[in-house]
Amino acid sequence: MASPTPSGEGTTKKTKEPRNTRITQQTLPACKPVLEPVWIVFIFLAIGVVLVPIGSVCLYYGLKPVEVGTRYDQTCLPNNLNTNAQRQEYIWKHAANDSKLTCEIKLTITKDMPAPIFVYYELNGYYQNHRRYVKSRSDMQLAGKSKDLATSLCDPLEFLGGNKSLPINPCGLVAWSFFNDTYTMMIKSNATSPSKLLPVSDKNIAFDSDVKYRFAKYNPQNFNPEINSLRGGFNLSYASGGATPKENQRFMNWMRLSALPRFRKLWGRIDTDLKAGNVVPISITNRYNTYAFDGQKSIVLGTTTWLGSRNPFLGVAYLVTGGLSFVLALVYLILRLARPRKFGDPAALSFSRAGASG
Amino acid sequence: MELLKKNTAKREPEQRTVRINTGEHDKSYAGNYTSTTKYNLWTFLPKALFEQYRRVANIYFTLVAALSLTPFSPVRAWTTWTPLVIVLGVAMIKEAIEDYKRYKLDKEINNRAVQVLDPEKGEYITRTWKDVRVGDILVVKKDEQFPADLLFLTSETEEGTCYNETMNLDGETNLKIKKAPDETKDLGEQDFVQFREAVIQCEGPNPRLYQFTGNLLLDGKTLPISPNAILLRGCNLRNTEKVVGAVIYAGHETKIFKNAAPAPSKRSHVERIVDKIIFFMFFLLFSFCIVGSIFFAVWTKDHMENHWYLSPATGKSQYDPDNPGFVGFASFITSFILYGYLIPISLYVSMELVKIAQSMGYINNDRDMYHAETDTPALARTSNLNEELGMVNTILSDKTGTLTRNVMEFFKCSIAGVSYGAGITEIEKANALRKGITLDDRDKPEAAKHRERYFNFYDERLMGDAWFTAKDPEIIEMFFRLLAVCHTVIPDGPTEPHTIKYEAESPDEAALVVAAKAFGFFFYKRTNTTVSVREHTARGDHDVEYEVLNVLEFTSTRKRMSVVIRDKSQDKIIIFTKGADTVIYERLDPKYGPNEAMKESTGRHMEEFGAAGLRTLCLSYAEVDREWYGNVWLPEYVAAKTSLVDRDEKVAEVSEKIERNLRLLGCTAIEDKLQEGVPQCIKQLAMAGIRIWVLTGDKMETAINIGFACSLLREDMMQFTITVYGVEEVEQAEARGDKEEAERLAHAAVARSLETTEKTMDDNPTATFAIVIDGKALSYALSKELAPLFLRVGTRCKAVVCCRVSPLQKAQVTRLVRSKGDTTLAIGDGANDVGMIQSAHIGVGISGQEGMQAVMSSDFAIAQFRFLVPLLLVHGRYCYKRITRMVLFFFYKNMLFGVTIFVFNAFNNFSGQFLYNDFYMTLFNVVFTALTPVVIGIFDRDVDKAMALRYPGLYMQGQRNEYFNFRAIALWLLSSLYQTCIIMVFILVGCRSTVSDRGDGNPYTMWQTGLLMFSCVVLTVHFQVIQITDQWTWAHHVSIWLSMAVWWLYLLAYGAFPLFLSSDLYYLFIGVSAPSAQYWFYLLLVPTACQLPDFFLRMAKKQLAPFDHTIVQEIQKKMDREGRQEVEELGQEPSQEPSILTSIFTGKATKNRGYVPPYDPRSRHVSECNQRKKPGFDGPPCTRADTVPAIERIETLIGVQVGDHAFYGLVSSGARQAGRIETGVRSPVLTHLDNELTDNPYRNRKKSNLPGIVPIPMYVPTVSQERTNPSLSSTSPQHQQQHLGAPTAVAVVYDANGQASSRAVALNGGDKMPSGSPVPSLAPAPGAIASPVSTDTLSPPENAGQQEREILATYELALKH
Repeated sequence: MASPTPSGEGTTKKTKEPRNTRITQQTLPACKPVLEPVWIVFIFLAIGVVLVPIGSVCLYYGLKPVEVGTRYDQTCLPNNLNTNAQRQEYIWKHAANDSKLTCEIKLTITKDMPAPIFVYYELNGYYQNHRRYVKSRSDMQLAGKSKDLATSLCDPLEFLGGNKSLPINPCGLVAWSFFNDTYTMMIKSNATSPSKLLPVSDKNIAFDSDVKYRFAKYNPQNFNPEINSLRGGFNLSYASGGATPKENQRFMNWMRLSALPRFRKLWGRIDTDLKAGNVVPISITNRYNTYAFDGQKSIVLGTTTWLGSRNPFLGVAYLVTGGLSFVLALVYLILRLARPRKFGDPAALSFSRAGASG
Repeated sequence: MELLKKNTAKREPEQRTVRINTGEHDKSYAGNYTSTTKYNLWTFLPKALFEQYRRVANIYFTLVAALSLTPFSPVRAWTTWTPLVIVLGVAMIKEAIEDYKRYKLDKEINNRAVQVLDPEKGEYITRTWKDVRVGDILVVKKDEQFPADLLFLTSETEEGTCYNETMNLDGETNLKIKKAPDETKDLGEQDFVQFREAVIQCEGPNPRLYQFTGNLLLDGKTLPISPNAILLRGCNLRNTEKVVGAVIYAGHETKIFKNAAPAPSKRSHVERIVDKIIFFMFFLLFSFCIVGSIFFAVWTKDHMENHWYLSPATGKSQYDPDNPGFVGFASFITSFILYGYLIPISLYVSMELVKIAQSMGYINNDRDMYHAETDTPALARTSNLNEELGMVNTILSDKTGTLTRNVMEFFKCSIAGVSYGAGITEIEKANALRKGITLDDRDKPEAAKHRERYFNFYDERLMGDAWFTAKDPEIIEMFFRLLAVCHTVIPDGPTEPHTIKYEAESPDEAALVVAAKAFGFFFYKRTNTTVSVREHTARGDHDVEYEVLNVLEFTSTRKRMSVVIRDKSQDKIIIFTKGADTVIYERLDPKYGPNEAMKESTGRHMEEFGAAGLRTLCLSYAEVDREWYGNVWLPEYVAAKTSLVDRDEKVAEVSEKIERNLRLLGCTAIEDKLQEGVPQCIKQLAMAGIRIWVLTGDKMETAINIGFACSLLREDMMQFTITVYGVEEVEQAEARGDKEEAERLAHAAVARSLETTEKTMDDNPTATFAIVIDGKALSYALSKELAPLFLRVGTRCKAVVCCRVSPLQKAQVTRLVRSKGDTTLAIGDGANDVGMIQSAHIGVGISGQEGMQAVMSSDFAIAQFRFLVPLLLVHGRYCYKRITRMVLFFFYKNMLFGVTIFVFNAFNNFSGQFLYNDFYMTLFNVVFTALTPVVIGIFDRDVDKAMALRYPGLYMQGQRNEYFNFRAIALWLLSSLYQTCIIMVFILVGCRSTVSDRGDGNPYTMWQTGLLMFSCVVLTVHFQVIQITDQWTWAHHVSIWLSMAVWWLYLLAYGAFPLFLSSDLYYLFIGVSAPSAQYWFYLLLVPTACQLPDFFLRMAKKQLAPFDHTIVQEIQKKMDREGRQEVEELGQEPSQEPSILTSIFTGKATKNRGYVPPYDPRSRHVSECNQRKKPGFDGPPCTRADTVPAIERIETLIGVQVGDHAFYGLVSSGARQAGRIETGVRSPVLTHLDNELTDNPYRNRKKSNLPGIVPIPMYVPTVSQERTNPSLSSTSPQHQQQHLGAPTAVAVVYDANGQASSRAVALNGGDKMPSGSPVPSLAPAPGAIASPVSTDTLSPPENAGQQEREILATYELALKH
């Protein structure tokens, strides 16, 4: 095969000897953390020491925000309506007549609420996470990328009345079922004082990215042109401030789906402080039909901190986990004392115990 | 062999008739065009796909992909198709490339040229191989391959012979000689032009390589064609210029193609368990689907219409409340796709990848399994069984060539009742050394003169011309003549004694012929009918030509071979027979006087040779009556030879008739040396809890002695010998000729002995056992009634030795052991081991030797038996641990992931919506968590290699299947479930959609929650890896940190993609999640909360009931910390010497092996002693004797100065005879000492340099005794044994100055005195347990215990002074 080298020596005889590499010989240098009891206790304690303070901070900020709210779907209709079926009947009947649907409720502020105060509506029993619902939308259309085109993604609401010449924009179940209750707020410094208008802004309530990129400025076409008998109430511009998707941040928030059947969506923000004892009368136009499926509607005013709204769960979870870690450290110590074991004791090997006799 | 038989069970054409050279071809016979490709251009796609779909998982994933095309799919179709196409595509491309290579090779082979005789033109023309047809006459030239299976017609040699190399067929490299039929061998190449009338009638195509039944009809005569005249395709012509042959089978009907059946594929335990887990996952999947679809159908029917926002005009039927049945069905399909994430798609791909890396990267490249002498690395022929290597309970080993080297040397012989040969075998040396006796075996100069390959013999009574004047020179002469004549060896090369080469089928035969040459009977020429021998006798040198009339071949059932010759000078017909002693003894002439005289002494010599580990053959001859031979026997024989059915049986039957009334000549003994490192290897395997069964064709004594020599049998074992030889009743029945009765009695005897054995075992629960059983007894033990009992008994033994077993029995035993559920590993080197290798879970072949058949059918090939240690203890253990851990991790992560999807569905009425984007669902398995399991599978290492070898007991974890039993799997899955719960509760409650995670008030939205949850899943899964990683190599770091980083990089990158690609994810991470503090807080909290209980349980387990590997990790850590000093190894075998391997790994120089390093042993002992003072140690307190510890005692014996004492000497029980079976339990002290002495080669080599060693003339050569006292040859074995066993108790004590001193150190520490050597076994069940020699040679002499006591008393006494 290979001709011998001129020197006659060193003809490299081909050998099958495996090469000596660290990988193939399985001798890669390795860090071998073998935990001694001291270290184990230390790890448990360390976890506790890290988690508990974080938990305390989270709990503090989780309890700090103030929330005031009330459910209004039952109360905001004439009292003689006893069942949800009757209520649904009522709002359908008066769908075009807002004055019949309007009621006023009062929220009393219990604690000082510094601005900004966020106005939420809360729905319960509403499955925004149903697959049929989730799929029925077109992000591209909303972003104005294909506004004139019907998009099959929106099935079953692509065309108005099934007429292919009338593509709906924004299409789909999500947009179509846009929440259309409206609130007008007043403020009274106390229960007896006169009320004045409390301005509620619909700006700066959506995610920046939505405002910037996901919604285009265009006029909706064939979008809820008439009062919908199922939902109750009117179209996009009627329900909110902005007539185009880009201008309507409430619409954006609606289009951001919620993961669970009980959810809140941001409706507006109040940029003045509210003091404890203030009363906020809210005039509600109760259009949205939650009666068909026995849902609930609430209105909530709340403040936030940097950690979000009022929610002690995170802090409590941190404290519990951290506390558990301390407890486990203790249990481990007790186990260790009750059943001491020598570190690296060859006599403890099962085969040496068994083999001792042999 | 078994396999071949099975193949032939398929219908095959009964007969074929080949008309040679007529130019007409029978179209029904295949042509010579061959194709080994699996596919062609058109069939590739369907066939290759079909191959892929043999895997159930692929069918499942395709089904899922197909369903994802339906409108019911919750995911976009390409997310299921992409991974599937990739997985299938990669596999199919691999197939295509391999097949193209085969196609190119086929093309090359089909177009090779060959000379074919054209009957029309009457001349030889060149054709391609593919145009060759059955019946053609071809000329094949030197070094060419035969294009088809040919009938050998003639060659250019006078005898009509040729050599061929069968390497491609069976891997054997030695040349085989083939012989043309006498009727055609003298024809020339051109004569065949006229060769028209010949017809071959033969059996149809079949895969039997070594058999051929057929006749050549020529000139109205019917000539039998022996397999020896068939040239097989695939073989090469060597050493012969050219041959002419006629094609019998062509193309795909040739034997090599008929043999090309794929090896049966084996599946490992782990894989089968994986299947079960997958079934469980399927079960889970289906129950999820059923729960989901029923719920959804009911909800849709009852509530959907109320939820007006979902169903304006309803329309689509999959949500049609009026059709709940269909809704349920559609929902089922949806769920089926959705929860498919429970089944890990990449598991199989990853597993295959990992296994290939393990076998190609590690096993094939392990330098510890590389044999430099033969340049053979280990070879994993399959990667399916890597993890099975870590679970082996039982090793079934062949002996010859596996435990031994298969280098045969003529070593001793016994002629006319006189034993010759002065050598000492390694086994004798090893056995003697165990007793503390050094046998001197320095080569004598005159002996060296005679040494050559195959011959290691010296005895001045035979060498040179000495035997002319010895006793019975005629017998000796006949003996030598038999050696020179009775064989099938072919001489090659110049006919000079020093230059001639012998081509032999087995090395034993070569050894015998070489021996004959050395004795002056130089065999130099073989023709078809003659054997020529240059005989050097007292009458002078003569070239004698013997006419070989018949050769009755050796088979494993006949266990003998014979040659019938005519001695021309004396015109006598003589049959020479050599074979196993039992076979020959049965056929001796009872009336021939000298037989009786020689029978006993020869038998005894054979026993001795066997005891020394030698392979013996009995030689005999007889004169045959010429009339009878010519008129009666020969016609019968020819008829048998030419019969087309049952030819072999008939020939054997006829042969029987002439092989009788034999006259005994003597026996030969051939040494087959033990392989290097076998005893250490076996010791380590035994410590790893592996039972070893040696299955050998040897005699019982040989087997037992080899068993002792290689540490398989130890003296502290209780041994049971089961045999039917020497059972009186059976013998009586046999003598009466009542075969049935004899069988029945033998069966009963075996049953009795097995029962007694079991009972004895029950009575001695702490002892270790060994069983020795011979082939005949084994055949009863394997019978249906006894097999369960035998298995029960056998599996309680550390070692089982089966002697005189046939290849079939080997396979039967293997299957029996396998049937109990044990994981078996069979190791062997020869064709007779193939059945065993294929039957066992794992077959290992010894490679680098001549025969390759074992390797061809094996799963792993290693060059030396000792490489089993790294193969099992290192690779097997690692692979088992790695694969199981990887698989568990796979199921863990997929379950974790899949269940989160299910739980979330409960919150949306099981509509099939998921919280995650389908991109990252798809990428979860193939990107985010793809690398870590592979790294676990390749790089995970709980303890270092050296520790795995140092603590072989760690291997038992695999035997117990500790990592992959029900408990372990359940715990992993439960932990997965628990973690799912934590994730779901923390995220769905903590991040519910009514709360906000940011200052600007927006509550959690769906994709945001999903992103958070998925981040938690990814992190948790990696935290789990971090927790289970024992050793962090760079690969671990890369895989873990990189995988996690990739997830966030992906989020960043993908969020920036244009909207139509990223949709839900568009700007999600950077715009929504990342700015929120809560996102990061949850990322810290959730995985911690998930892992904390896991971590605690692991640590508690470690504290309360640690795994063995945990302790070894701690030991390792301790050693590292103490600067790699040795820690005491209580619980290991006392002062275990590092094996060669260990010393390699730990970097200790091997040349110092056994040398005790000069440190103060006291320090080590004192710490040991101090340990006893600690609470919890319930040993005896430190005593005076403790200051002179056991270790030190050993050191004193090997010549290390201890304190002011110096103590040299030797201890031996004196009662034990080299190479005798011993029963009963020995004193641990003596065993210990024996081990120490045996294992310490230093002592022997360097003894002359040490002061004060007493040279001990221990070895009294047998030969000299016999010469001086010929009458001894008739004494009983027991007598002889005592004669040999000179007292060996030597206890001379010297002080430092080399003066004899009365001071000495104690031998007795905490050790017990031997208690009268209890021999608990051997309550002699009538005849059976006791071996044939049990009464006189097997048990220790009565005074054995006495002697031990005396020795110890001597030491005690010495100490007191």
